[in-house]
Amino acid sequence: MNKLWFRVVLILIVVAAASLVLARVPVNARPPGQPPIPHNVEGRETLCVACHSAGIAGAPKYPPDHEGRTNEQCLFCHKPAINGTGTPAATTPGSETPSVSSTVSATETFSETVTATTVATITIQATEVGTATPPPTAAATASPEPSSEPAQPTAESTTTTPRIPHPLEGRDDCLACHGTGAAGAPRVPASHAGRTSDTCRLCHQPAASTQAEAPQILPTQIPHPTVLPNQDSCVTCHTNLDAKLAGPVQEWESSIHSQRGVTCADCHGGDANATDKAAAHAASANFIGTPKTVDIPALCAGCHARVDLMRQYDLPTDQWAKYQQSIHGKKLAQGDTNVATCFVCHDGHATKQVTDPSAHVYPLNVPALCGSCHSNIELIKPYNIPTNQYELYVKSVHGIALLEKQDLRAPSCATCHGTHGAAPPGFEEVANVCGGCHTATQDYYLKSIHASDTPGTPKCVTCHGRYDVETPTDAMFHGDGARQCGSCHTPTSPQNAAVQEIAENIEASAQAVDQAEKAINEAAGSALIVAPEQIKLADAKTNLITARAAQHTLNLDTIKQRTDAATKKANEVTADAQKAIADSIFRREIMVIGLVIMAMAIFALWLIRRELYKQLPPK
Amino acid sequence: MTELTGTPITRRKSIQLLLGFSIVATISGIVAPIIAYLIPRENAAAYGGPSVVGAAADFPLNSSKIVSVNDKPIIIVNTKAGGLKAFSAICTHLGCVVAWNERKSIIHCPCHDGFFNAVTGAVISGPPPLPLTQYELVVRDGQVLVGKQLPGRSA
Ligand code: FES
Repeated sequence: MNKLWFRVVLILIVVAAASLVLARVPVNARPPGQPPIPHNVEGRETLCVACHSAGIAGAPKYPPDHEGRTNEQCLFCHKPAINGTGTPAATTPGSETPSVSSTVSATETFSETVTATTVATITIQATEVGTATPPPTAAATASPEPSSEPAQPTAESTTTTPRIPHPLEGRDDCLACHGTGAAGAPRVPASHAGRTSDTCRLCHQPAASTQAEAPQILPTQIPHPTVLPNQDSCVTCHTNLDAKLAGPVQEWESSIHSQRGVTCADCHGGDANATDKAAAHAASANFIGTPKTVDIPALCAGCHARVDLMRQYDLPTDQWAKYQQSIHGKKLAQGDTNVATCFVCHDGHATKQVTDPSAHVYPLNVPALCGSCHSNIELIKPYNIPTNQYELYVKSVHGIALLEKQDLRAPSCATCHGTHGAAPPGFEEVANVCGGCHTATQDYYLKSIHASDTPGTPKCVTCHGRYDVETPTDAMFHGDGARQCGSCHTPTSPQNAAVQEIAENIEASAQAVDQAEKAINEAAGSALIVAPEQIKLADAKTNLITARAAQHTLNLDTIKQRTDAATKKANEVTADAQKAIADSIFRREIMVIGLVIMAMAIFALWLIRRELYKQLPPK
Repeated sequence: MTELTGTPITRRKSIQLLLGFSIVATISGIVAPIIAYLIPRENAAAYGGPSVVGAAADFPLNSSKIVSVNDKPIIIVNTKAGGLKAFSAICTHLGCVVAWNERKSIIHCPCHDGFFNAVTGAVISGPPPLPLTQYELVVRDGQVLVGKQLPGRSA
């Protein structure tokens, strides 16, 4: 029996090991010399079979023994030769090829956004690349097609293939027109038979003129070269320099940008593949060095305003547009470099995601971030604006909720002033800004005479303050201090009489609710079941709280409707609770009396019993 | 004399009995409610067991009703997405009784516009810090029964 088990286990192990080895063969033991892919694979990873099975666009057909393989499998063995995006197949870093490849990726990136003249130069560059391409390995491979063949599509696509002269938006189905010749569209040549609308744009690119409609993003002219991980010469050199020059590298290494492959050269220009300083910092490599402060927002926008790039990160792309409308942006455009730029708020080189609690823009850190400039008296002096907002804010209901209670729903500076489009809300806009959260109150307020456009009518901030919003109290009805009704309505005015009537109603019902609550607590303290009363009390409270919100209508009827309901229910609760307490006291008294009578009866019986036993003759 | 000798014993005995009965009656008058308190009642609802809140037909689609279960206000909602559900009707913000917003098919607190999801009780918007507590709900023989509080974050 044992032997049998041993055999079974042995067989299993052998089979497992064999299958492991077999499974790894195609990956690790890939025979050298597979024809490299002569074209850019970006965006075409799912199209290998589509083109190479039918020979579309001059693509060499794959040999019959490759039948049934999938797109993923192609890329296991065949690697991009000139490599726009991936790893170079048969080249060593530092040799000629990577610098060529960087030109390719740069031109490709640019061809999507830049002007016609630039496109012309790109075409030439790309042609050069195309002709310079066939790597030695390609010639050596035993492809069924002539070895120079694979290089052609690339060269062709950028030189002789007709460009698309019209905008592409909403016109994904090329063959709808070009298949039939509808609307004067040139029909596809016979040699293109069998191609689908999805394959057209692999070769046919939009003409530059159709690109002019795209929003003009600042041409930062940084080529965004492909830099291999761990081979960024900027990092290699700067790490060994003094703190001023090495610091940014360290910060960058912790940034989200480094995690997503955004390198030094993407913002500072230069050639990150160069091995000596002169070449790396050459003007011909678009070296910028430290970007000018005024250029920073547009530099960031070079990527961050691009929907095509940001979609994958689910990031908005309107920050730059907003920033230009913000006070910060306007001042910067006037040459004021004291203002906040992307770099200031987004942690400089250590750019962090907004969800990172250590980021300056993480909601809990925003007040301190804004305060770091706006509380700086020296810095703010020229602008003639207050510098005590942070100080006031931290003591406000909002500041306490956010910073002490860590309630992320509480507003920070940015909630009311905006982030990228930061500007103080106008007096007229305040109700909408506060109403963004205080929706119920806003609804009531907008029905009131206070909400009229007449100059001098109060807005939220008139009674509640701006930075130092406090918990409102009923005292606001009575005093004549700032933020109190009396500060506008003199004691003899009819408005003041109305205020007092509103106050009376609210206060009376608040008192009734308080009393009801006390009565219930007292009843509960005497172990009475008060749940039904508690339901009623919740109802009373609901009415009182809505009455308090409804006071913003300034309409006595609306308010009274709720306060009356609250008072009525609260009084019922009080009465019920008091009755329950009185009942229980009565029941207790009755019980005590009953017990006393019983005790007396027992005592009397005991006396009689003793008397009777005394009469017995002694034993 | 026979009368005299016989009588005292009978009287003594009856007094003895009377005294014993009085003591037992008094003690049991005190102890009985305690024992009654310890014995589970027939009515399970009083102890958080499921209790009938109405016929299923009383809760048409896209409607709600506030009922009292074990003296707690419970909002029963019937939505297309979640069917019949029972939640505590007490808002987790300041304790107002929530209502039903028919147009939006969500639970609404009238006090500060707290909105709750009618399928999960989760806060959609507004000041409530926590979701509404959900209660077990079953439909048996056309009757809707609401039972114990379901686990989860609650106020
Ligand atoms: S009590 Fe419900 S939102 Fe305030």
